[in-house]
Amino acid sequence: MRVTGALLARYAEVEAEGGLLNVTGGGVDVFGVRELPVHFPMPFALQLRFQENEAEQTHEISLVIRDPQLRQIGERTAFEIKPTLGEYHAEGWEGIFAVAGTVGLYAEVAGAHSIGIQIDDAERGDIPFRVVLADD
Amino acid sequence: MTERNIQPQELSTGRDNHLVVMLDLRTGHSRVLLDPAAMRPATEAVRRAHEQAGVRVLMGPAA
Repeated sequence: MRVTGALLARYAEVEAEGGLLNVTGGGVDVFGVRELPVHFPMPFALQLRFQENEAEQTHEISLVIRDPQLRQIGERTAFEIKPTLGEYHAEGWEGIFAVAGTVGLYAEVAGAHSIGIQIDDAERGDIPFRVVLADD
Repeated sequence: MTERNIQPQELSTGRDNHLVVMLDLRTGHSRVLLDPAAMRPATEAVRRAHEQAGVRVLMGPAA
């Protein structure tokens, strides 16, 4: 299973019928804050691709935040998914699983951070973002 | 597509290959939203949280 798309956005949702992702303002990654540490939610979207032999099994997706020194801050946050092969699945092709929602971001210092994305304990992608102190 | 009974466990790990979640990377808390439409009111909560925390989205890709 691999991450083929991951981003923060002003808004993100998954359509109930069909599972398509709707994203507005995707790719935001610089946040101005008045003080540190700071803790705030942001919408996000993930697109995952999985092999046929990974379907009908439960997989753990976990996210961690790393600070400018690549140290983990906050807590590892996990949830489970169970992908399936849909009725239009073509034999030999990968399936697609979409995740949308909000992620609570946390920063203790200004600078470049990243959200590490792990699938079944293996690092599979990341979403970088920057935090800057902005008075106005 | 034929109708079928959806088991509660199936909803918590995604139905038809999609899932909506609310995560907090500071506390490690995660919650599955069983109704994808619940994302829309959640964005108002995001806006209020940004206002309270003094957060502004400054720009897009910083590279």
